[in-house]
Amino acid sequence: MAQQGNFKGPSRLGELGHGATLSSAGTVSGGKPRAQGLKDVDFERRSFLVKVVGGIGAAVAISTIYPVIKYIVPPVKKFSNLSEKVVGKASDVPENTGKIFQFNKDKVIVINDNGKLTACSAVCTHLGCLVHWDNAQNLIACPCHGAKYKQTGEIISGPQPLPLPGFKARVEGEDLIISKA
Amino acid sequence: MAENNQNAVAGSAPVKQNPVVTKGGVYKPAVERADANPYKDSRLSSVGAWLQERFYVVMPVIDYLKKKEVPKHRLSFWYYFGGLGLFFFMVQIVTGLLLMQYYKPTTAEAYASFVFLQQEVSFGWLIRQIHAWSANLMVLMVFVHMFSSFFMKSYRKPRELMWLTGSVLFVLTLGFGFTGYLLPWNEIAFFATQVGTEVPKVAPGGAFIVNILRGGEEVTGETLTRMFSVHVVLLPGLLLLLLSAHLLLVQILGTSAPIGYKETGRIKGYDKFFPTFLAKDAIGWLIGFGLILYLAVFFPGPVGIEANPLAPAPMGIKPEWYFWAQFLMLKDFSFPNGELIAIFVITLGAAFWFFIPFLDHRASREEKSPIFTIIGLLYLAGLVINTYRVFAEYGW
Repeated sequence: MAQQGNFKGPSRLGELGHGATLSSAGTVSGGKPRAQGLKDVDFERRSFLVKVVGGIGAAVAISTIYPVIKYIVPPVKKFSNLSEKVVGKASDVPENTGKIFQFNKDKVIVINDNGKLTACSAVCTHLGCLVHWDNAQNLIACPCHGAKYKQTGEIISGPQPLPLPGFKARVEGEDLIISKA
Repeated sequence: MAENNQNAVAGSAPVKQNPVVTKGGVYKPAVERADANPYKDSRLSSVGAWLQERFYVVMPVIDYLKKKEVPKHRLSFWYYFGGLGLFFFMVQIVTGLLLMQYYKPTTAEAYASFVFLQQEVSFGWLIRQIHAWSANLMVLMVFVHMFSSFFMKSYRKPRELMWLTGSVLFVLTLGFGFTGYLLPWNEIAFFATQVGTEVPKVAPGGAFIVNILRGGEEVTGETLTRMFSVHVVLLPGLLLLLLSAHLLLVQILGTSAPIGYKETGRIKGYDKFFPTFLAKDAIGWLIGFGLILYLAVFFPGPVGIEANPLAPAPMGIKPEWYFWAQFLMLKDFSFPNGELIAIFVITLGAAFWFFIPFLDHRASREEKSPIFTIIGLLYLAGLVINTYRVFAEYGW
């Protein structure tokens, strides 16, 4: 109970129970009595025991943690890898608007700029927000941290490190088709 | 109490050791017990006496707790904010448990159950609004408690561990805010989580962490389940553990008074913690409870629109106010590798803050340390100015 080390402990601690001996003092319910000290203890055997138990324990701990970590890492999702895909109808993207479609593992924004279709990734290269088509300014904008891109995905301004990867979009009959660039 | 301890002394005087050797030569320790109840003469109700007979071992601890005192001085006002943070946390536990009775953590049902809770369930709106407001106030109280402890240099020797446990509690509190934010599965929540979990990606090996946080490459239903489990199981467990240590340390080491206050006689007296200070704390808690009810009723948060993974991020999106300073830094650092530098600066700043007790040697010698006061003011100013800038640009 006494404070060890050199720092002066709070004085209240010394007053614990007004210095009364702990009520368990003098009672040894098992093992060797304190009076004999540790002179009969076989330290060699004890340290062997500790090593064995510690070693086996460590092995068990590691072989338990391994599957837990593998469990937490999610399995890789499988995506289709099409070179082109019908994602909807041409009417899904009216003039002067943009719409986001899932294409393989990518989210692609298709922009209809006065009838001319362009497509690029919709995932801002800064921190992954989804961009939108700002028709008034004729550019792609990300509302999260103010990144701005040209219609083709090239950087205009903002914190983003890379341009948006390009895709191709076309209309065949009624169908809107996205294909790899 | 004194009479208790006299009994304790009488009851547990060391008994002589007489090892008993039985006939068979097998050693058996003497069966000796302390007096069954050294407190049997103290004045108590029959229930109290019954409990005391069984728990007498903890009596010295209770006696010890009875002695805890809180100094009264010019800055005593700041002692109430830790307790208020604790109060709001207790409100979170109760309201969180209530919300879980109706909430369903899947993409198909999360938003619908969230709306159902607020529009169909009796007082569901109130419970949700209290949970949201109490969360905000808990974060605010933790901020105030942290900075007031900092400026009073309460972290100085021997209370370093209180600062360290408090720092971890602060991070856990922010973690609660972050993980809870996604659960309504509305548009703002979706993109806030998208940005928040994207951040580690700029550091080398960060994609692996992002993958674990999200349960996949993108924010999906798996992310919702992960955030939910962390919010309702992992964080409360860790927080309770750390909180126990934090409160135990307050009891053992006592409340710190600012440097030099004792020596210059600026302490006007002491309040007993039980019950005087606790009663004063309770006044603060009642005011706090009134405040969350007022805010919940008159300033309810929006329900929002359901998250759609194929919709562009909404205009003017921003995180909760306690992440505004960091959010602005990510925006400000728009040069190449800006995010990585921003994250590096934030991490370094947090690490420095965490290890303050071991850096401020003057305070540990009970000397004034104005340099650290200035450092604290710079941290505070950085947070307040950046937070205000976001407010000026985006509004609430």
